[in-house]
Amino acid sequence: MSLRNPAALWLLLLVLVPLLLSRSKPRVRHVVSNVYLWREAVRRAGGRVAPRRVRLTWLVLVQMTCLGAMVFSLAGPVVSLEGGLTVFVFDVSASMAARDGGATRLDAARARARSIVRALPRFARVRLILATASPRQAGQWAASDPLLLAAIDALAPTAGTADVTGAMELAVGSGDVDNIIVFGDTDVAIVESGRDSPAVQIVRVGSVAENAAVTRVAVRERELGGRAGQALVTLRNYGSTLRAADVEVSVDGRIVHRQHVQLLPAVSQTLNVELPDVGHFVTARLVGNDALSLDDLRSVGVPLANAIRVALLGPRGSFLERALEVNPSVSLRTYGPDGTLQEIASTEDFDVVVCDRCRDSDAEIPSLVITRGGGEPIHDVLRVVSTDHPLADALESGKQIATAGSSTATADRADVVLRVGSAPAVTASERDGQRRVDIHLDLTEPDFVVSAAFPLLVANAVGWLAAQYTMPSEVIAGEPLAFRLATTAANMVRVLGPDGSSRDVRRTGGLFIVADTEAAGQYRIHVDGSERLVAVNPNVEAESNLSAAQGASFNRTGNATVSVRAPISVARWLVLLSVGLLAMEWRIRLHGA
Amino acid sequence: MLSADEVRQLDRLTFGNGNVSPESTLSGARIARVRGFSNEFQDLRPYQAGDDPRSIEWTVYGRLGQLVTRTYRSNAQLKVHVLLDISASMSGGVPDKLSTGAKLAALLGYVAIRAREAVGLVTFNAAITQRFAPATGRRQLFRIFAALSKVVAEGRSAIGASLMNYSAVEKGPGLVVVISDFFDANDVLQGFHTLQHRGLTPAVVQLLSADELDPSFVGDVELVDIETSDTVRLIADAESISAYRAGLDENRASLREFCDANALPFLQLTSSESFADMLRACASAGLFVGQP
Repeated sequence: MSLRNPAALWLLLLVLVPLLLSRSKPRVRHVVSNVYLWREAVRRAGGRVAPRRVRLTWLVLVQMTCLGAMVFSLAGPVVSLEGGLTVFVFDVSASMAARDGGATRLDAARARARSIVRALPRFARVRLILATASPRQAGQWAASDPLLLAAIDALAPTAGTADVTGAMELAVGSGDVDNIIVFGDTDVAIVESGRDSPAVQIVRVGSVAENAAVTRVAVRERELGGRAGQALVTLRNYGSTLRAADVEVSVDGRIVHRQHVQLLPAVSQTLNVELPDVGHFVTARLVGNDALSLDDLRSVGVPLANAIRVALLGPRGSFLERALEVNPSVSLRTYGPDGTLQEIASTEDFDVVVCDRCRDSDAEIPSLVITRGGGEPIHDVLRVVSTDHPLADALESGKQIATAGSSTATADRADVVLRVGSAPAVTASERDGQRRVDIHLDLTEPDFVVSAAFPLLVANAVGWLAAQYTMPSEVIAGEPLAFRLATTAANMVRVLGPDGSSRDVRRTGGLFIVADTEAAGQYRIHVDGSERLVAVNPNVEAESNLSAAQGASFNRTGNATVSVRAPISVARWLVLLSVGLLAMEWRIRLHGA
Repeated sequence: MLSADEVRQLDRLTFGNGNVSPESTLSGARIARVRGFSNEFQDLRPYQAGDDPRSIEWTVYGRLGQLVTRTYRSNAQLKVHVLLDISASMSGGVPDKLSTGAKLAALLGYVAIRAREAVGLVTFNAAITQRFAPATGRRQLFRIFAALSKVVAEGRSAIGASLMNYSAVEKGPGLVVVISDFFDANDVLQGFHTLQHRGLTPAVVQLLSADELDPSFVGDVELVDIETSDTVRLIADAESISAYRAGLDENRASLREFCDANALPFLQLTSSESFADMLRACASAGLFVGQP
């Protein structure tokens, strides 16, 4: 319940009037010839004047209640039994961790939220929505519930960005919302449209601040199988003044390089750091004090340099076998053409199976399948029709002649990468998470297969097929960490976050997804006893520039002030009550209590 | 005002002498202390210049050669002033004090007229409201009766001031019978002193009601002054009522002491007093002589 005119409550003092009047009225009045003798008698008796005692009779009680009801009605009490629903959208992006004075932007937002909660009606409901990269609800409480303030206090900034618009849309779509209050450092442009939209209030926190960040860390090995490598560290000063800082590069937690740098304002600077051993996890840290410390650290997981395990089913001594053998990243095992893909896949783990005119081409692992195609052979120029496809990498169109079947059928939703004339020569497809490359060329013809483009095509195909099992080396916070595994069961996969707690892993076919990547740091993926390291880094592109606010837009109508839904005025009922009490009082007076 | 039986009781009464000097300038049934012009010889004395030559005793002059004058006893009248308090406080009691006071005034008037005394009536509250100068005769008595039958208790009391005002217009000798409850916080005795100073002899008749003598209310009460509407709240219990009685006794005692000190008649009557008791009280106070 709230009051529209709280000052009227001072009139409640009038409630005491009937009581005081009843005090001043004695029970019995006697008319006497004089009172001065009685005054003297009272004085003689030691001032035993009748005490002004309170005589709270039914009549007085009714009168007081009547007055109280009238005065309270003047105060304009309104109740909102449903309490109205106010949604607090909290921007918990990385920039909210920026220090602004003695506290962070999120601290300022919390303080503003607390004051608004205190001003809300007691029965108002408050729903908390976190504007992260993937907005989500944190819960709903009554405004008077201390758990609400506890939930607000427990908010912590993530390393990712904030989809404020998505969060507001989630707020609107989550129920019958009266007010949306957005706390954050994002400028939200409210676009007027539609009707019956909730009122939106933007509580903007934070001011311009100097900040620098590590924007990129990349590691590459100098040679296949070796441990020496090079780290590429990119720094950027988002501020407006020159910044001097130290950069530390550590491998697997051990500092291997330290360098002093001068960062010019609004300029990126890249460092090349030689690493004798790239290890498994490389981290670059910007040492110094700026507004946002979250983006001063960035890491990358070093991918395993293991060879691609390839099984070849087909005749020995072919150009295809030779093209695979010359690929240094391939570990090849050959089988006769009579074997089936299923049999090979069940005997040993392979990353890619190459089937050269073998009987069975359907396998649950990535496969490169060679067929001659149907129809009359066509000798024509080999043309690249999908230049952006990885299979076409480094291939030149129209330089080689190849032989393909004139009526070759392609699989559904397969991408044609190369054509011979009008016939599809090379197609790539991905179905149910399973990649497959079909080469519809006659590899016995000494045209395309003897050119340098053939081993390139085979290498591209094997690399593309094997890439689906490559573990990502880094992920931006808030974005899902996704990876494919060949045959591993979901319960054998375990992902630990930087805080050591296990993350929920969802599996779709061979695709594994970890959605909770809001905390930056090292994520450990345990698969069948082996461990892979993936770095989750802050979203520097969206969050590190503290000199300019990010923008968002949201469509709404209505005013921008917090209101309570459909407040019910109690005043009229109080007036009715007071009139009823007045009638009762009259009746008591006329007929006696 | 008076029944036949009451009148019969009054027929045998006259005002006592007390220390009241009868008025010699009026011819009445009472023997004056001064010489006068009645036919009753009193004494002989040497002639003094200015004496009526008709009073010279010529036989003494012829025999002794001295001028001797005859003196005669004067026939004086008692002037009775009946002052009746008609303030609102006189309405108290059962019967009310005013009616009892009026009865007393009537009997005083009757006794006075019957004894050929001069009697007057004055009603007063805060001021003198009605005044009949002392006179003799039945017409005066009827005027007094008529006035008494119409009195109404109203107004505030100012007994002392009223007595002083009356002193300004009347002088002695004479008997001033003041009938009142004497509930006046101001100084009442000052009025009596003024009357005495003017040669008048006050007679005090304090008339109270039974309720005033013995309050019947108890508990948490609010007392309202009938004249001023002032209020007093108190718990009427044995202690407070005892204190009231003590105050009332002091009030009565002060009047009695004044009257005793000045040899003045003093009566204390209640409004419920019977006629016979009233007469007995008057007689015992020295107002009347004779047997009712």
